[in-house]
Amino acid sequence: MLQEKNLAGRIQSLALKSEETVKLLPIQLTSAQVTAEFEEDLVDRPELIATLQRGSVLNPVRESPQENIFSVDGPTKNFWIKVLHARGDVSRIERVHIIGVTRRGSKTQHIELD
Amino acid sequence: MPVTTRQLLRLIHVIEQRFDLTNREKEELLSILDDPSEADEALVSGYFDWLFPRATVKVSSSDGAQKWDLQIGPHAQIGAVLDSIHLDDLIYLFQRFLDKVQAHDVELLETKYVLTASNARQQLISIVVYVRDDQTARVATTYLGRPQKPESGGRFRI
Repeated sequence: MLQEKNLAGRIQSLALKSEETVKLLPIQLTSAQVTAEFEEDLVDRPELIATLQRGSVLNPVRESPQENIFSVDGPTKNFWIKVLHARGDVSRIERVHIIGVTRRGSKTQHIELD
Repeated sequence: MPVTTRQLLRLIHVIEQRFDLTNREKEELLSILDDPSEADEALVSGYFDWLFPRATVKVSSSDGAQKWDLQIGPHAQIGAVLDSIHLDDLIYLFQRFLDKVQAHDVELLETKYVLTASNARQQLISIVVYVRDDQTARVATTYLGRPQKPESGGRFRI
């Protein structure tokens, strides 16, 4: 099940991390370079690819303690994504992984249950 | 925040218990976890995601009126393992949410919900759930504690 790996540098793609807003230059991605946590979200892949092609602003997600999930708005959808870049070259985006998709402008609801 | 040794030990324990992995696969995976910086890179880049395929559990409100599929993806499952959050915690938390929704006749919106509550072990946990209008809810992230500040609006109780 495991792929062949180079033990000296087997993690080839690194996740972009930032506590600040990141301006992303236009990037060209193929469909294969956009994956999703839930495969049903791949139906919105064309909108994400088109959004990233135009250049985009990634906002760190405050609802997550990790610094590797970003929110990006497309024309109709909001995406939570992870951005994976080449080791040693942050500008070379190798893959974008969709964590979730909602309608653009929908508000996050914070619920305290205790 | 980089992954801690304690978190790595939890993941190592889970991998060691997996009967569906060969010894060679386990050795390879565990060798990555030997080096904390490599382990951190591997975790955030999704290297271990294939070990935790999506899980779906049926969750209903106590009165049975609300019936949902709670889906938990690899990212959330790994986060739960690292923080010692159990699947039962997620089910319990979401069921409490459904009970509140049902009791107060709240209309659920198709959006993200950040649910925060204590589990049975009195740990405060939060989950981000994408609620959909097809009666599925997708857990995007899990973690101990609560978000520092809401993106917009305030917290509220129902």
